[in-house]
Parts: sequence; structure tokens; C-alpha cells
Amino acid sequence: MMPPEAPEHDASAVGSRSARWGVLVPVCVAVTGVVVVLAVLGGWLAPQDPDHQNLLSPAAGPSSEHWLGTDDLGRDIFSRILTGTRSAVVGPIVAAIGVTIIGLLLGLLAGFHGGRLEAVIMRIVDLVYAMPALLVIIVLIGLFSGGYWAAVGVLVLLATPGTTRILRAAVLAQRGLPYVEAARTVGVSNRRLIFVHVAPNVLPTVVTSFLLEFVGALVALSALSFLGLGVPPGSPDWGRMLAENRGLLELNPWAVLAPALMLMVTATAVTVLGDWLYERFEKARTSND
Amino acid sequence: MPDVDPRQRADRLLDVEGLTVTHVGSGRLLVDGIGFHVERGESVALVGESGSGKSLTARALMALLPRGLAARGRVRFDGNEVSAHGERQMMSLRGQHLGLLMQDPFTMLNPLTTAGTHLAETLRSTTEGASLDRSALDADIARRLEEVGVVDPAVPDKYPFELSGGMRQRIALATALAKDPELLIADEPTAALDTTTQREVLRLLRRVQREREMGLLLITHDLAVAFSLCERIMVMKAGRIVEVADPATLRSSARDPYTTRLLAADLSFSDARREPAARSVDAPPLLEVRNLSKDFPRPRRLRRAAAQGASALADVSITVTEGRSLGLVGESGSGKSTLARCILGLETPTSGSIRLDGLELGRYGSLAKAELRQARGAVQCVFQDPYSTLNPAHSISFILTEAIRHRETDELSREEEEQEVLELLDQVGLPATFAGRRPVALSGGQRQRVAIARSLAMKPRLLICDEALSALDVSVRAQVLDVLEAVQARGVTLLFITHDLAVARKVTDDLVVLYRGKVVEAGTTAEVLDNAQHDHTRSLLAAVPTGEPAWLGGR
Repeated sequence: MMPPEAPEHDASAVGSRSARWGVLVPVCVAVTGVVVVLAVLGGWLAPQDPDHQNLLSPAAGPSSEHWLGTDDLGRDIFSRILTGTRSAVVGPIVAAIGVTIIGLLLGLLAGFHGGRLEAVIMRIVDLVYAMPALLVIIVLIGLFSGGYWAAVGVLVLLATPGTTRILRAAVLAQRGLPYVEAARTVGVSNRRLIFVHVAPNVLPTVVTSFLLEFVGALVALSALSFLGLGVPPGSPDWGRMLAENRGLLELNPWAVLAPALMLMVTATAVTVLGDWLYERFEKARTSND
Repeated sequence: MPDVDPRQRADRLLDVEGLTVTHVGSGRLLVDGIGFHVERGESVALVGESGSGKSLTARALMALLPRGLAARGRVRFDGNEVSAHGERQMMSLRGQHLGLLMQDPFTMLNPLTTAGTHLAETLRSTTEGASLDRSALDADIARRLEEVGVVDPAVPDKYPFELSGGMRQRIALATALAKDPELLIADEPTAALDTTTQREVLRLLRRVQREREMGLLLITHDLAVAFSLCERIMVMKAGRIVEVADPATLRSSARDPYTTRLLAADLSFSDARREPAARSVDAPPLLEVRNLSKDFPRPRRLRRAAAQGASALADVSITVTEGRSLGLVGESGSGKSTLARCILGLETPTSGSIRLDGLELGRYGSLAKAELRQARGAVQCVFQDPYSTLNPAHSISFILTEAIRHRETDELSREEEEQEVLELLDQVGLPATFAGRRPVALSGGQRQRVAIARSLAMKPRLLICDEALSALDVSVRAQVLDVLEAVQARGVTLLFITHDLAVARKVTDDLVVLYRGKVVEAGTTAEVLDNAQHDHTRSLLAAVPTGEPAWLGGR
């Protein structure tokens, strides 16, 4: 029998656990920071006009003028990568915010109130969950004649059920605890119970699911661009570049590798940050410093 | 440790010298170089409060320490050095020579395996067991179950969830004994059991130990249990053994101040309430529960079973007079907590009425807002588990201020609120610095005090304590008990729910005994405890550990 103050749970044990993150966290923070800066300033930082065509040097390899070479229309890959950061990142951020807010509200309502309300919410969630995501996206975007923001909207619709389920489970775990009942016997209103008592205790899950939703949306939106849905043809976008330049793999591999690497590095960095933040928040919630 | 003849020393069953357990990360010593021994056929208890290192000692002996902890020292078993053994030798030592019985019989048994399979698995892993055919194995299983008092032939085919706690602990004991160990280490074997079941299991443990002439190392926080079962008691505190003596010596002349404190904190059953209630039984009632019943709806496929089973509460009537604290005792599952939850409005009763302070509380949902506020203010509750009763996300002052704000119809100024938080902390004996802390920084006893302070913030007339002391160490329990007595002195009436009759005698004036959802006995505490009429009350009384070997029968 281990008392709750037992040594395995004490602060020093957590300290050794933090050590395993090593330099990973600073690196991931740096990568995420760079991506955010590029999303804001990318267009201005680009050394050349990303849409300027130079048909005299198509599909050229890296040079002092074009650091990552050019594509088949002679456009500068480096400038297109920088400029494309915004469309790669902003949509997923908006999608993740939408999914998290809606998912949290539904999860709190369903998990806390239970009964009929929960049944209705969760059956709708199951219904959406059961739809084949890619088919729905292709059909809906085709129906509404495309557009980047339409794609973001459809992503929110399709990703919300997963988050709702996760957050409902987190709320359910809190709902039965004596601190909730104690607050109830004091006369705390349901709304306050939900938002002041239960919500802070599911915050670590909320933050992590937000970051993971972002990664999911980043990859999904790029996949849509790759398929030609979402951003219009010709615009600088990582997914689009992957699709348009895959024929240049032998002439200028950077035209394909650069956008692919950007996607991978961004997704990995944010996923690691999500895990790390979860641990941090969980520790902060249950320790005094 | 006095000098002993080396030959005698070599003959000891278990001989431990300089055993230390360290936390590898911080280098903190959790068990600080202890030495002790167990003779063949001897029963020894290792007694201490949570965090004293008693469980870690047992785990170190079995080489089953949690990750991040390292053990060092000399352990001789049957004259052979075992501390140098690797995992492989340790595995042969475990089971063959050392049996382990743990606290929670449910997590100890694999939920997907029947009781018989559990035993068969262990029996088969011995050399003799491997050669047994099916029928011989079944016969051996039956014989071993009989030894632990299980004669029902259906039991070997049952899964752990189909068995009661006491039955599970018997199966676990049979499994621990399957390889006929010479030493059984029992780590809080009865802490998760009801008091009546506790006595049966302890009796069984002693009988088996004597019949097999097996060594027993009992690890417990309960002095009375240790006294009645063991020949030698080792008291452990902060990783050290502070005193070793036989029960009689320890009781009459404990040398170490810590032991004396433990003994003093362990309530004697004869301690009655210090200040008996002034009011007589005829005073107007504060709480009147009449013919209260509560059934829990079951899933459809279980309905038929439910129709035969008892409901949680059946036709319960109790009366609490203002100023006279009422105790509610009974085994787990007797409906004590359900009754409390109905009074608090956390459950809606199926039928019957609850009148508190002139309000009908049978249907909380239909109360008007002002009435609801009045009801919330009149009755408050302290729950059992100190570790989940406070919201970990908020500070102590936030928790207390919230209660104060819900009591007052008019808004108080910030200074007034802060002042009251400090007063509340003072009332439960906590310093003002606690206001800014979060629950995680508090020990179990401190959290329970904050929970009491939160209840007091509502200025209740009735305070329900639902097993509020049972998760606490004995010395902490005594302190919290003092706080509750001070609360009583301030005019708050207690409805005290407990399975511990010694505590009930100490804080209550009247007593109600519940058994399977029905009131089987009621009266003043002294009447009920000194002149029990109902069989169930008698068996509850018999289950209170006396600290005498006679309590477990025999010598």
C-alpha cells in the first residue's frame, strides 16, 4: 500500500521525468516560433516575388540566387515556401480553435449533465464520426465549389466529434469526485460547477487536444491542397507545391523535399510540445509551485 | 539489538541487517538501516503510520520495490544470504519460501481468471505440482481452499468480481500458501475489509500460521490488530524501528514517545463522549426522516436479480435532536451513505420524507430558491476521501470564500471575506498561511480540516460526517476528532456515519444501527453499545479489535 505522499509521486521523481525531454523542448519551441514568425511575416521576408516566373531557368538546382532552386516555371522555391507558411498554418489554427471550443462546450454539457442531453449530443457525434471523412470533404467542397475556408469549415465539422468524446471522458472522470458534490452541497450553481470547478481540471486535456487538432488539420489541409481542393491552383502552398512539383524530383529535388520537410518538422514540433505541455499542466494542477 | 549467539542467529528464519531503501533520484533515505528477525513459527508485526516505510520494508524483502527505489543491506533467509541473489534466485525464493498477502484482494487477483485457475497456476509451477494430473490437482485445490475456510464447491469456478472482499482475501491467502512458504508477509491484509470480515480473516490467518508453524510478518497501521495476532511488535517511524517489544510490555510500558503517542491515539473502546449533550431526548427534532426508501434503477438485464435483492434503503426512520449528535453505524453496503446523500439532496429518495428545520427535503428539485439556500445552509457534509474532496485547481482561500459567498445573501467586502477565511482556518486548527496553498500541498488530515472549515463556512446546524475519519492515520484521526468535538461545542449537531464503534462512542449521544438498508437498533449510544439486542449489533461489537489474543479465539 502506497500512501498518496509516497516517494514515487514526489517532486524529485517528476524532475527526473522532465530530464528525459532534454533539448527536445527548446528545439521544438524554436521550430514552432520560426513557423509562427513566417506565418506572420513570410510574404515580406521572401527574397523574391513568389509568383515571378523565370522561364529561362526552369527546374534549376540550388544556387546563390535561388537557395532552394526553382520550379518548372522558374519560380523561386525558397520564397514560395516562406510565403506559403501562412496558408499552411492559419487554416489549421482556426480549425483547431473551432474544434476545441465546440468540442469543449459539447463535452462539458454531455459529460456534466448526462441523461437525455448527453444521449442526443453523443448520438449526433457518433453519426458524424461514422462518416468517411475524405469522401465527405471531396463531396462538400465540390458542392460548394471549393475554397480554402470551406475546407477549414468542413474540417471543423469532421474533427469535432473526436475532441468531444475525449473531453466528455475527461469531464466524466471529474464529475463523480467528492469535490464536485461538496461544491454542490454548498449551493454552487451548475454553470459555475462546470466552468469554475470542472473546466480547470480538464485544461491539460484541452491544451493537448488543441495542439493535436492543429497537427491533424495541418496535415489534412495540405492533403486537400495536394488533391487540388482548397487553395486555388498556382498559389504558394506546401501541399500544392508537393503535388505540382513531384515531376521535378530528379531535376530539383528541393522543390518537393522543402515543402514536405516543412510539414513534417512543423507537425512533429507541435506534437512534442503538446505532450510536454500536458505533463507541465498536469504537474501544475497537482503541485503547489 | 542485543548480542546473540551466532548459532542461534544462523537458525533464524529471517534475519535482516542494515536494510536501507533509497530514492535513487533524490538520494532520500526511506528506510534507514533497519535490522530485525523472525524466528521459525513466530508472528511479528511491523506497525507504523503511512509513510513510515513499513510497506517498503516488505517490498524490499520480496525484491518488489517500485521503480526508482533501491534497497541495500543483508537479508539472511534460513541461514542463507539472499541479498546477493539476482532476480532468478529471488523468484525461486518468492513463493517457495516467502508468501505475500497484500491489501487489496481485488487488484491482486487477475480479473479474467477464476479462483481455481489462480491456485492451479501457482501449484503447477512447483515441481510436485507440475506432475499432478487434473483430478489430483482439483483435489489439491479443494483441500487448500478448505484450509482457508472455503468449502463451497462453486468457488473455484468463480471470477474475482463474483466474490466478496473477504472471500477474495481467502483465495489470495490460499494462493500465497500454495507453495507452502516458511514465511508469510501480510501487508495490511484486512485494511480493505469490513470490520466483521476483518476478524474472520485475521482468525484464519492465525490458525493457518499456527497449524503450519509458519513465520508471519504482519504489516499494519492498527495496533490492536497487531497486539491480538502477534507475539512481537516492532514500531516503525520515519524509516527506523523505534521500539521492539511483546504486546504486554508495549502496552504497559512503552519506552519510545512515538509509541506512547500511537497508543494514546488509538482510542480505547470505553471512551465515552467527554461532554455529554445537555439537551434531553424530548427536545424538538432538527432532522426527521420518515419511512425513507431508496431503490437504484438497474440495467434491464439485471432487473430480475434486483427484484429479489434488497433496496439501498427500506423504510428507514431516524430523528436527530438539536444538540444531540447521532451516530449511524453499519457495514459497508448497509445504506449509511445513501441516507446521507438523500439528506444532502445528492440522491432523490424513492419514497418517504425528510424534514429538516421545517423544510421538506424529500424532493430537493422542487424547492424554491430561498428554501434551497436555507436547506444548503442548514446541513453540510464532510466526505470520506480527503484526497478528492477539495478541487485541486483552486487555493484553500478560494474554496472557503466560495462557501462564504454562497451563504451570504448580501455581498461581503473583500476584507470581511479574508477575515472570515482566517477565522475558519483557526477554528479547525490550521495556520493562516494555509489560505494561499493548494490542496496538493496538504496532508490528508489537513485536507480533512479544510473540508470541515468549508462546511462550517455555511454555518450549518447539522454536519454530516460520512466516514470522515476512516482514511486517516490514528494520530491524525485523534486531532481531527478534537476539531469535531470543538465543532460540537459550538452548537453544531453531528450526524456521524462510521463503521468504527470506538469513534462512534466517543462523539455521539445516540446511535442507529443499519443493516441491509433497515434500522435494526436505535437508542442512546451507551444503551446500544452496552446492551446490544440485535445480532448484527453484537457482531459489529465483537468485531472491534480488543488487542487481546482472546479476540481471535484460543489462547
